[in-house]
Amino acid sequence: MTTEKIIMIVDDNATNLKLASDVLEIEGFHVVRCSDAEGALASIGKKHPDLILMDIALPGIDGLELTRMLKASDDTRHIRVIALTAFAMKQDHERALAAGCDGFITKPIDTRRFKDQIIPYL
Amino acid sequence: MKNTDELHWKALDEVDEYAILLLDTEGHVKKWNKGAEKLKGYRSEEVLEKSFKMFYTVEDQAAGIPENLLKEAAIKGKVLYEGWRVGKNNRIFWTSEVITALHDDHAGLTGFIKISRPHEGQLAQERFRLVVESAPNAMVLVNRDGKINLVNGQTEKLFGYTREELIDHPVELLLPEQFKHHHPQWRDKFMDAPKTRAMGAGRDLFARRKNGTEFPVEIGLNPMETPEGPMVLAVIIDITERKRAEERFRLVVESAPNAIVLINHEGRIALVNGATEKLFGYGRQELLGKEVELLIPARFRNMHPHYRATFFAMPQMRPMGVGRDLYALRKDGSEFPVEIGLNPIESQEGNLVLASIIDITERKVLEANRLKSDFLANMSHELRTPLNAILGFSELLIDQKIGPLNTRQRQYLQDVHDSGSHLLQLINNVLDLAKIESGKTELLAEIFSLSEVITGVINTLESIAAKKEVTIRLELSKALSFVRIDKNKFRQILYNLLSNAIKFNRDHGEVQITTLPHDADTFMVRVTDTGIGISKENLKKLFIPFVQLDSGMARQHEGSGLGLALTKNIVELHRGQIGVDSEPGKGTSFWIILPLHINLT
Repeated sequence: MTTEKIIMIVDDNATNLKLASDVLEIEGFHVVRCSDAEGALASIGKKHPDLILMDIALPGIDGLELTRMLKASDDTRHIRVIALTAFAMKQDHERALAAGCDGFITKPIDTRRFKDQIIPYL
Repeated sequence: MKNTDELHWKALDEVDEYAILLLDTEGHVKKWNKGAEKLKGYRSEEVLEKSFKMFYTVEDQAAGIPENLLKEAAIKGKVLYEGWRVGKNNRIFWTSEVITALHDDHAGLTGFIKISRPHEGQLAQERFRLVVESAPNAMVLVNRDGKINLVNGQTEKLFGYTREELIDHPVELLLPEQFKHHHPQWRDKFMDAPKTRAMGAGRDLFARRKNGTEFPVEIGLNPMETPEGPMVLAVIIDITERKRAEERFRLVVESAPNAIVLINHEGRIALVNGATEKLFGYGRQELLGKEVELLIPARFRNMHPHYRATFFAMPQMRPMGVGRDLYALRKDGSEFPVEIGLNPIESQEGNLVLASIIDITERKVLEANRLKSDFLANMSHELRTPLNAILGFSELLIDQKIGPLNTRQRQYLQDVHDSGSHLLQLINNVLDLAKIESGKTELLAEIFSLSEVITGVINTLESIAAKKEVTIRLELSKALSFVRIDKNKFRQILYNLLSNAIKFNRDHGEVQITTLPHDADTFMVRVTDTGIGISKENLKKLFIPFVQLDSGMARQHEGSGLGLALTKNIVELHRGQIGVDSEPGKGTSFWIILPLHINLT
């Protein structure tokens, strides 16, 4: 069941991107890797993912801005977005939720729990 | 009159500065020139055929002076007379005159010619009197013997005397009792070397009214030569209002909470207030008259006179040293950062500067802390990012999700992971501290069981305690079960205190955790160990962030020196208290007092 789900991960740090993607692929998910918002948009245009894990501190258009754009369009509003944030300040969580994120996970990710954290959103 | 006389008269008529009258033998006015018109103020019609007696004062007339003058002139040929005359509208003026008898060819008396002119000195005196009378200040003319010769209306008003009560009286009448005695000496000394000056420069002068009240004055002295001898014209100004304004100014300055220093154009301190004494540690006597550079650290002194001069050249109210960091120097040699506002003030003694000085040490410290906290918050993001990889990839390998590992490989990777975890914890601590210091932390109230959380913390530290064979004893008060405070932060505090108690314990030592009610709305938790204890000096250093006690044990255990600082901050966030009792060799006991229940508004 989980193998049919497509999860998109957007992170400008190559190592972090590799880690998160590898963990999920090991668990059997199909992962699409993007290193910036523009790449993500292009990919979403080709095929909608079931879930997007978004690093909110992206260069250029940042993660929250991208989230807002997706949530504003009828086409993509249904796609769940989880903010990945290294900040642990209350304002950051509030800002993420205000931009339309459906949830957030703080980094560093716990590889042992990661799968269980995202499954509720699928 | 003959024709030549007519011609003569024409010439005389035009003479302006002299009053020339032609009188008959009885003294009636036959002819009268322009000068006479000018001097006496009458028109010819008003005087012709009248007796010249009309020009003399009542007293002179009563004494028969006009007739006597004619008699004398007739006998001697001419007579000189100087005195007061009366002109039109009873105007009084002083003249000197010559009355010459006129004879015909047969030596018979035909009449008199009277030539008079106003006395030069007296004209000047008249002008002088007018000026004095109309002056806005009180003026008193005093002669060599100290007697009042002349006063004006302002003097009468100021002192409450009429001029009759003052003229010919000693000037000491206008002085307060305590000055009367020495004044004559001053007067004499002045008259010996008279020059225009302010009287008693630098001393406070006082005058005394008729009703006995005294008031502060400023007096200018002007020596002058008069026909009656050398005199002094004193100009007296009532400075009561000015003194009151000065006093009010002094009071305002004195009561100001900021240090205020008044500096004159020479750069010397003219006035300071109590706050200045307190701030710099000097008594005001030690500061008055000294150069203001005394209050500046040595390295800035050179430039300061230049800055002062620049300010006086273009004085305006402004902050001092914009863009520079300013420092001040106390008596004990210590320095502190300041902010200074400058205000130019005009005064009798020239231009002054009012400097208002604020000690900004606290503000600078707060600013520094805030910058540090902001920096740390930003850094933590940078620091956590690589940790993500360290922890994540080592986890994947340890869990053998990438393939099997032998024991040693697993172990090494576990070491990598443990170090990463520890590093993450440090970063979290640093961030927590930074958050609390920059005021960005909020408490979350939660109801929980004390014993549950305490037991939980003990469990996490089980392995570390076991390594040293340290026993942990619990003594939980039955009266305390549930509290409503920040559960996570309480756990943090407990973890910190307990881990310290274990780390700094001796092998086979003991840790005792006690909870007890403190007062109506607080409770206390005590964590006591049987470790090496802490010396008195080190007790002072305990709660300072990043400072670790300089003991071998502290160095052995990985610490960052943050734990206790963070613990203290959290306790204080709860408006609680924290303290420690210790004796080297005997052990240490940390206690915290927290509310049972926090109110979050």
